[in-house]
Amino acid sequence: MIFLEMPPKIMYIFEVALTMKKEKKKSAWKTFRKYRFAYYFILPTLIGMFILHFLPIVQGIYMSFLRLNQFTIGEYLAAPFIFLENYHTILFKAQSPIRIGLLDAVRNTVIYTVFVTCGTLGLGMLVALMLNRRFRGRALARTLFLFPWIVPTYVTGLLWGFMWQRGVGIINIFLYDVLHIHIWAAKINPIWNGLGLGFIIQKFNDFIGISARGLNYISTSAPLIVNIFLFIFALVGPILLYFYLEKKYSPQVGGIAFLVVATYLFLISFNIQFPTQFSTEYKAFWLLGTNTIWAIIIPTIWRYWPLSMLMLLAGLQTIPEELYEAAAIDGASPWRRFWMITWPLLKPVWAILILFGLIYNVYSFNIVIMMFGFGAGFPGEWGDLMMTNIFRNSFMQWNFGTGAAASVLLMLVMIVIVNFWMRFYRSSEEYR
Amino acid sequence: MKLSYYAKNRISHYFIHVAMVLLLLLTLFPIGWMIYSSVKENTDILAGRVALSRAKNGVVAIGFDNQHYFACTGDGGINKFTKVDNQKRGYYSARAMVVDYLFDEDVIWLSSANHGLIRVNKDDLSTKEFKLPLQELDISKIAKTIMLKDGNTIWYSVRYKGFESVLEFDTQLGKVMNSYDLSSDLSPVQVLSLAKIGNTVWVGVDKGLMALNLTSGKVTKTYPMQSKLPTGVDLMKVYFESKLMLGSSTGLFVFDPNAGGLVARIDSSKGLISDQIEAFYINQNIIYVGTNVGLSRYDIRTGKVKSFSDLFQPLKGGDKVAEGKDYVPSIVMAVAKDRDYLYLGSSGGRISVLDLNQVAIADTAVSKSGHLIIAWRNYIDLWKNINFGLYLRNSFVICGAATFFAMILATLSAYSISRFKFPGVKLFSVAILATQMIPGIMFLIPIYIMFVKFGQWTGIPLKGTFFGMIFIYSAFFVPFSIWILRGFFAAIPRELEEAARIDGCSPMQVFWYVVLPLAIPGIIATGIYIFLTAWDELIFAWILTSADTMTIPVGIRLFVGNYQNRFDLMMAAATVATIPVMILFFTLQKYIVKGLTAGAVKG
Repeated sequence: MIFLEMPPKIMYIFEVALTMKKEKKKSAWKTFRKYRFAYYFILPTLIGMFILHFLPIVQGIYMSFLRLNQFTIGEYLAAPFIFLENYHTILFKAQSPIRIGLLDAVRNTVIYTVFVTCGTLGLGMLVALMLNRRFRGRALARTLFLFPWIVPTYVTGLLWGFMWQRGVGIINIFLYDVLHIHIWAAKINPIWNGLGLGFIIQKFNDFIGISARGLNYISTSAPLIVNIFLFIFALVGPILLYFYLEKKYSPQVGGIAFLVVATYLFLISFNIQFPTQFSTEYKAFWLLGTNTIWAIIIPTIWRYWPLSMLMLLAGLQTIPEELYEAAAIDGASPWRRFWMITWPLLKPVWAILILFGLIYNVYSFNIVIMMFGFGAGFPGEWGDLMMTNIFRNSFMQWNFGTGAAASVLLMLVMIVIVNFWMRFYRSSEEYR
Repeated sequence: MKLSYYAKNRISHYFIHVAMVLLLLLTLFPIGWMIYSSVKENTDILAGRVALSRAKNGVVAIGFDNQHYFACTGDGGINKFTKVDNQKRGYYSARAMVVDYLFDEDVIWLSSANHGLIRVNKDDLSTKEFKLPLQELDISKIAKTIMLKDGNTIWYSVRYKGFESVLEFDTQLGKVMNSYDLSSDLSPVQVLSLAKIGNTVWVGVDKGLMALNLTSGKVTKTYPMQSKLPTGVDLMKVYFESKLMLGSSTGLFVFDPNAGGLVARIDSSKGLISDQIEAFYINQNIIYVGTNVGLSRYDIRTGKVKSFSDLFQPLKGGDKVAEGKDYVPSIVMAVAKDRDYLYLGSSGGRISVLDLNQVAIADTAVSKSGHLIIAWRNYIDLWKNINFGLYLRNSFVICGAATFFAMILATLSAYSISRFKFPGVKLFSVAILATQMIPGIMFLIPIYIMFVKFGQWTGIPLKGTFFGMIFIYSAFFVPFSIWILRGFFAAIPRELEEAARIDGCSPMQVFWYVVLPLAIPGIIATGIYIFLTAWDELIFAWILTSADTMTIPVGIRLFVGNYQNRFDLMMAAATVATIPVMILFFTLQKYIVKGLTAGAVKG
């Protein structure tokens, strides 16, 4: 974890080490005397963190090297030591059921995290801009907008699980009994096909099908290196592209390129294809099949966007009005004013929102577990997240060893991502 | 057309406003839907009905006084109409479930499952309510209430599984005087109807008939009749002073106590329009029988049956009646005769007046539509079904104490890392952020086993106790609190502290008297945030609490697993879990908003 703070130059490390050594030799006791209040103050926290963070994490990492299952859980840390076999099962044993389930979960978690983080940020930005005007009842509107954020997550899962129900859920009642979208679809489909749009989509699907042949390995059996490479490529590629284009041209170009490339990579890597025509079935299953991914993304956005709205609003209020006035006098359009003034100045806010969004969404658990079977069921191939998968592996199938190994891997990946993001965030702080 | 800058501004603001309000409604809709569903009937939810259903206003009884007739409906509504010109003169609604009516000289007795016994004055429809000692019954499971009146006494019973007694209620004193036990060789039975001949109360039950002697207070004789009356004796009236007329889903029967059995049967084989008897009226030698498809007239002397089927043309759209049409809906639930007119009450709430001389509908009237059913009962059911009070208390104790301890630790640590550049401060800050990156599940097994082992070694139980949960929660939420609080302490000017030091304060005094008061708003904000997060926590509470330290999320999860189809109770539970934090947020939102945004803007 120290490398979060890793100094850029190696020489600098030596320098620091040398000075620290010197200081220690000179006056360890004096330093302690000087800062004794600080040490006393953090001591209880340190003890707590040692017992409830450090010790468990060490045990957790050690557990990932053990064959811990229902037969050996009684021995706990004395279980047979198998070193990296759990990791091998997860990463290389192509046919093992744990690996297949976990890869589904990884795919869902990636889709979920990206959509939720972008969705909360986008919606929050939109409403923050709406609220950042002078009108009567603004405080009340802000309070009311914050309401979903107060609803506990387990209640969110329960509530949306009820709303997504096929027969009795309000969403299907509204879509099919009020809007009659299946009838509209049946009317539009001939026109759609007559215009040749269905044909075009079919061609596009075929095209993606061809180019995705290599990428479809993600949830099937393939060598580890392919998976890792594809993930890094699909995740980091668009982001790097954005920063490159932002520096070279402008944020708009970067943003559009990011959206296009990321969407494309997403589609092909998860084998999602556009349907050639609208579905005319009467009531869709939301908690079954591929729809599940949307059924978990939308409630999460609903629950978390008020927080981003609040933070972005606070950030917006610190931007002086004169900047906008000057830009307006210079003839900048509102669109341009947003991208040239608001967005860069809000960088510290959205940077931290993305950071915590990443952490919380990857570790999201309550909403999904409460939505499917109301706390008792399996979320399905397209609704299973990393956390629910590991939880089920550990506490329902008693594969504690592989569960711990998966947690460790997840943690490592997260540390790498967060480390990257922290550097970016730091740079924004300097910029400010 | 070119608009001025201000006009454009106004227009765009207007559109943004509309969009904002729409978005607000959309955002709040799920919460509103949760609360709305929690007071809906589960049958409505399962049928996919969006609106609240109305109580059924079918006319179940019709009574008279000199100028008026009273159409009494199944939801406890009493409609008063004039006989002459069919004008509405008054309405009273008891908002009752499962009603029965008795008509006296100048009062109407109304029995119900939820309000006990109600006496309604015929003159001005003023009421008086009498409680009955039936508190231990679950009112949602009472299927029928039955009354029988003779002199100043009302015999009262309910159809309820396991309730086998008849209460004796004195109308003068207004209280229950006596209770008769009905246990006999037919038990267990459910009471369906009552009738009185001499000193014997005849009790119609689902398995037949029994005679209750009032002097001995015991069931003297039982008559099992399940072969002929499979659904039991639904209706019962005295017939020629010594016989009983029984109505059921298989037709009308005449029971003779002296012969000790059924002596006659009138059903569709004799020409009745249907076997399903809903109501009947005995007028000397003529019986008017209301059935589920219409009305029949049976003459006892000649044995002739006349069915009024031509009066009952079924209309499209159920019981909805076009204005001005002579129409009687098909299910006749109440029959009553006054002079030459027969009053028929239908399941759709329509009263039709049949002129017996001309055999034609003279007039019709409609009872007022039933009240909206708001099922507050769901909350009572919820409280009965799960131990919600305990969970609520546990949640408050654990979250409150954890917040308190976490705040103390976090305040001290945040102060020290924002003020002192001691060796290790950077490492500590990084460690704080790093703790957020460890998946909670990774802690779970080690902590569980550590707790169990610690309990074995020292005898101090940690698993399943308040202390263990508070310890875990406070240690877990400290790092993030430090992260938020750091900004607050950094914002307090250092000069203040230096001045205090120069005036002779010790470092402790500086912290206590200068820094802490200034940081209170931030500490409160962080505390609320921690409380909300702890209230939300499911997975640790799931594994580490026991039956009597369970918090709300765990309780709800367990409960919901057992009641998969009770969406009403589920939503009631969700509402109850949300309301405490809603209140907390509403009262302290100023601090929360300030605290969170201050942390955000400073980074």
